[in-house]
Amino acid sequence: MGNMPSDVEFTNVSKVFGTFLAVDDISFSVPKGSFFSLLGPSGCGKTTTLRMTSGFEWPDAGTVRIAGQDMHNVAAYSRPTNMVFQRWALFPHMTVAQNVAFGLEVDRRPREEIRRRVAEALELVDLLSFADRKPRQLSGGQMQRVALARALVKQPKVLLLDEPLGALDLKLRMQMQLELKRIQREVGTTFMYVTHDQGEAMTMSDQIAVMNKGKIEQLDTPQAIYDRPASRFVASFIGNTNLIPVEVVGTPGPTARVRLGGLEFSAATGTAPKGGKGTVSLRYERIRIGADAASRDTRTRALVKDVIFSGSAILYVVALEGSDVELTVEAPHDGTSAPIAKGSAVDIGWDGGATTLFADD
Amino acid sequence: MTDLSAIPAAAASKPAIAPAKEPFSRRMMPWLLLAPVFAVMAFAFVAPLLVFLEYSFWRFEYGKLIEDFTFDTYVEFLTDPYFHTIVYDTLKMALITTLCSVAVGYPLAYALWRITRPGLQKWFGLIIFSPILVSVVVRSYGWTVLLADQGPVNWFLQVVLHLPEPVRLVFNLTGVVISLTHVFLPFVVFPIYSTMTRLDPTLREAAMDLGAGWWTTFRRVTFPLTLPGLLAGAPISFTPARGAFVTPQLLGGGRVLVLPLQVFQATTDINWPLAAVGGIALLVLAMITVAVSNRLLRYSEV
Repeated sequence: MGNMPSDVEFTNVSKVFGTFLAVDDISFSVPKGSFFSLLGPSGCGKTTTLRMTSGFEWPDAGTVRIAGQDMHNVAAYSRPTNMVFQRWALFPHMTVAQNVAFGLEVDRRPREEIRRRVAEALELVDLLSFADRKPRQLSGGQMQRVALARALVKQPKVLLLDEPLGALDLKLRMQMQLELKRIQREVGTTFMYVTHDQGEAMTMSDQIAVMNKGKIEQLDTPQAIYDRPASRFVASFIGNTNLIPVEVVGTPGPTARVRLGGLEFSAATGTAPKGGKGTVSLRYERIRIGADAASRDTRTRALVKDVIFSGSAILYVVALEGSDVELTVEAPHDGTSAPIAKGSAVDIGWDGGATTLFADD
Repeated sequence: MTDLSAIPAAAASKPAIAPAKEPFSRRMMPWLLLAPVFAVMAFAFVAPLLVFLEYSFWRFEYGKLIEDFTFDTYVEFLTDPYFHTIVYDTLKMALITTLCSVAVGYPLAYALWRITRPGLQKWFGLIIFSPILVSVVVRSYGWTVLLADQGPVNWFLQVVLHLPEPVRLVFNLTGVVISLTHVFLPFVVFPIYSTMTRLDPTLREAAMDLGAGWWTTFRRVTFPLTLPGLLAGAPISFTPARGAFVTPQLLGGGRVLVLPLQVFQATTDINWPLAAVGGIALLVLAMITVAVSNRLLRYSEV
């Protein structure tokens, strides 16, 4: 990606708060026009990274470039970025239209241009008829869209979004995810999105940087991160996975032979394990159960200990025969067959590509 | 929203359910708690007020009180230019004091808000609060010394700024206003400060993010949103300034005649009707202040 035009470029950036290393020597670049997500648990440094992009925080080491320009000594109000805040931060004493116009008025744009661009921005988020309302007269979803319009109206090089959907309820959140993606495609602006919700990041992003303890653990497309997690943390943070302690047999290469009780199988090597022990990640939905398990690379018998019905899927908690390891299996619910009864013995199985081996932490 | 109108109709068809009443003892609780205050108010405020009201209709002739029912004292108070000047001076003193308190208090509150070190903030708050800890008499004499013709302030003005003559700072309105501003400052600072602390800090960040520098952010976001605090603080300065007695007495040097002093003078002359009318005028001014500030506050709130 070295010669692709990038809108945001971090080079060896670190940030400390007192003695706490919030961001630890990270480097990445966000390609122009892409939807880029910083994903991680709270305290992982993702918001600090975003705030260093916007200019609210200054890096203690390293450089931040936006659209090729070094942002060293460029204050927040002079940067070609605009932010959608977590709780939207709409000015409560201004109407929707005044909120959206604020950034353009500060730039002393001609009145006619302001009027036109505000109308366009409100049109984009479908709020033109709410122009004269005050923020307190709006719902959460509407405030969120005003915040988006207020930031986009300035035509930033990069739009920064700090968990903007966090305060919305689930249904609205799903709807806004698709809406955000549509708007991003429509305006073509680079979006830099911070979230702790892996589903949100998956749905919208072109690329995701998974952060943990101030470092980027993996930066890739959503599918690559899901299918080939680079670390034990990424595997457990993204999607639902079984983390199984195993013994490593022989020297691991790109794949490794591992032993779990009496069961021996191959797993792709994520991080090389040390000392003959490791952890295998095996996603819930990659394990087959019942007749479906027959043709899989690895097969074993298991006892169904619990059945959880969750609508589109059925979760089975099973105990492997010959070891006390419990696995969770997710089987799609097609509405025809009855779920397997609790207490019955079943076959389970999975293919070699479904597993990844990591070193123990 | 439109189908809300259907709900009462549907509810009406069902048997009416009366809301459950709270037990008697619980309903009485607030009144019981308020009783001591009511008693004190009735005894110490309402009763004297009624007595004063009665006095105001009496007559004062040749040093003697005559029980009567006449509006003469009111007419005298409202028509005599002497009293007009007193009311005007009272309002002027209170207004200038309030403007000075706000002008000094707002930046002070802002500074207190922007101090990020908690230890420093605590000390700063204590300094702002300190005038209240000092007795009004001591404070007034302190200012007399500071502001005297040979005092340190005039020394500074003459020696450092080379003013040809000492500036008259005490025994006139200036001295009174300075001292009153000093003591009412905390009452103005803290309401403003509290609206500032309640302000969502991301609003300032949002303004800066949208390209506003410090001044534009202040002018268009911080100030309008903290205006309610300022408007809540102003009458807290205006009302006691209007009723201030000791400070204009000690620092006015007999040249500042305001309503409370006039009332006091009238009582020493045992001219109770005039004292009563003066007191009622003070009360009316206070009520007008409260009404005006409530109106302003309502406009300023989001």
